[in-house]
Amino acid sequence: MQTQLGDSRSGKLNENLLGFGRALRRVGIPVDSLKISLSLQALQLIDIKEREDCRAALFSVIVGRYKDRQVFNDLFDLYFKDPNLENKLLGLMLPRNQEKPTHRKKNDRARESLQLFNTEQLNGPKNAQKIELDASMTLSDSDRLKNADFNTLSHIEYQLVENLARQIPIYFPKILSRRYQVSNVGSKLAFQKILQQASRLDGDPIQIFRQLRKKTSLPLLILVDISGSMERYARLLLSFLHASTKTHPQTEVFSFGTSLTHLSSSFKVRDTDKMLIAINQDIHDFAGGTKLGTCLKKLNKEYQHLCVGKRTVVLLITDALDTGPIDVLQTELQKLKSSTRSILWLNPLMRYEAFEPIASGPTTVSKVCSKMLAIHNLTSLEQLSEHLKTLLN
Amino acid sequence: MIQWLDILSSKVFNSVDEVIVALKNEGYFADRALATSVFLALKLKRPLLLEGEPGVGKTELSKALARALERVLLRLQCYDGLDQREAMYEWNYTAQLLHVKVAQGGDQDDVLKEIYQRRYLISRPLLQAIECSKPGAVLLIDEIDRADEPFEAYLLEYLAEYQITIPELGTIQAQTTPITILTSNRTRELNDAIKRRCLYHWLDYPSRKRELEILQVMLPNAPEKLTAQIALFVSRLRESSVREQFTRAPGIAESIEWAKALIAMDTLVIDPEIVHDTAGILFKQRDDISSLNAQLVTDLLTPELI
Repeated sequence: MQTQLGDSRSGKLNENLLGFGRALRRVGIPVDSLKISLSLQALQLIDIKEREDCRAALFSVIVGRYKDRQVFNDLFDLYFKDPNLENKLLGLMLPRNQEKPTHRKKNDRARESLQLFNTEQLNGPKNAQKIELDASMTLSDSDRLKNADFNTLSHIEYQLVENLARQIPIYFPKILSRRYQVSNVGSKLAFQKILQQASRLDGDPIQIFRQLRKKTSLPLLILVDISGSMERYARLLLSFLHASTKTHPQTEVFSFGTSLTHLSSSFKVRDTDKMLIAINQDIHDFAGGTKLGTCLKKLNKEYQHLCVGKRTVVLLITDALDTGPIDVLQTELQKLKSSTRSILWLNPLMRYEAFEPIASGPTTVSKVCSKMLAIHNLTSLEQLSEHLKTLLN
Repeated sequence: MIQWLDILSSKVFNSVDEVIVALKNEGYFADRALATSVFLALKLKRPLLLEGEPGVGKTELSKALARALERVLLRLQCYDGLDQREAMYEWNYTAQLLHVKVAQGGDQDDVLKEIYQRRYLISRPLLQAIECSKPGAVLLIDEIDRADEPFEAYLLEYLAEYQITIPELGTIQAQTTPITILTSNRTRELNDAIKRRCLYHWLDYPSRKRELEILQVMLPNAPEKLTAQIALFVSRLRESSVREQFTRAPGIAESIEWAKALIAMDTLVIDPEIVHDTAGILFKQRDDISSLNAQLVTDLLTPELI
């Protein structure tokens, strides 16, 4: 029986399917052996001579994500024409590592910590003397750093502050979920528990157990401005938020400058330094202008599904010095507001005590946001957690 | 003998074409890819996960399938906070308490055994589907993306083994495999564990020809010219260049509603004015309605050059 998939009597079908599965895996579609065996069964059920039926059958069994549809179709066309051709093409498409294997780079933070240790050992006594001299005249170093604006720091200070920022805890307030847990207080009776007890005591429920709604955290949507004026704040705040939202279940991150970039997958990297490197590779419009309006438009349109249920809290990190059309910004911000719980504007321009949103961009943003919070130095980051608590409860 | 009768009475499809025809008889026009997925879901006894834009006929499919297979349709509408008690089973606590009260003075272990019997169990859609007698049921788990993530975990055992384990009672296994269809509007990505257990199909908007067929079947009284014009107009609205201007393109459900409205208004030919008056049926967002300006409507209504 000669078919498009080869001769089934001599077992070509199995081989072909295996090969196809491997090819799919290489382009990033998850295929496990269960799926391969299922697809083999599926192909035996349908008319294998019908190419489109085969395609539909394999798609239905193997693919589980909408976004994989195009890739699957392309690869199906390629593979079931001439498997060798596909291999060659794939070989051309795949990035090849030309370099010789080198020793794995040590973790950056580990190296830094080693460096710090070495320099401390070398310069230890000198530094100690210096501090002694300074102490009589000025604030201590850590106090100065705490209140220094991120933008005014030298390179080394910036690194230090970044590390300090990572240690600041932030408590996101929790809301009541729709799920219940047994407790001694609460408005609902926990029948199962009461019954368990009553059945042991001749049907007399002595203690009344109740149910209380469990607490759950709100989904977070972080929008970070990466335009020229925000460059330094963006990096620092990203590492701060990364460290503080590690245990937070739903966090989505986007950067915006001239275009919108979805950073959530890079943000999931556990190590903060590696996360920053990954994000660097994702973003292509670093230190450009700001087109908040058009970026929000894209967000509202393509990522609408992230703000389901009006529970999301948006952290908008920007100075709102927008260069795009203001009416677009206004409508898109309103849209975002209507689909989320609250928008908090984290504004580094609040470093100026007399800051007032006067320019058209900041005015528009401040009208929509529930609160404007300062984030220009470590002290303000420490206060952030308190603000969140009062604002969201 | 009885087994033979069962096989004869329960409907079985033997090919993809049979699925297409059977669904068509029930007023559902499935394209070949969808029919293949349905056929495989039936043959391989796997749940089928349908994703697609709202109003492309995900829910309708299960209704039509239930009718075609002469099975009961059980429906579980998902929502945030849906839990095991509403989806699978619940103990009838009041009856149990009464039983305990009546049996006062008896042996405690016996009482405990007695109150956890099947008769004190209230079954909900999932358990109903499992316990459904031949020819079995079609279970529709509608809009599963609306339920929260913990709920998906409840489903896993059912989806993989068609069984439910009740700690007090034991495992209840399905006698006849219920046909399970899950639908999702993709407001969030489902867990991989769910997806692994299901066959998957992405339902797209229908082609113009198919939409015309649907309209003609649903509205047999409609003038042919009108339905053709509706199908053309709606399919043009869904073309990528036009669609970008709207937050959501109208689905089949909307075009059927629109056609009904136009017939009710005794319309013979669509003109821009009528589109303007009835735009609220096609689009449900103020922005979308205002994007549908006179110029665009005129462009979309121009007949095709043949």
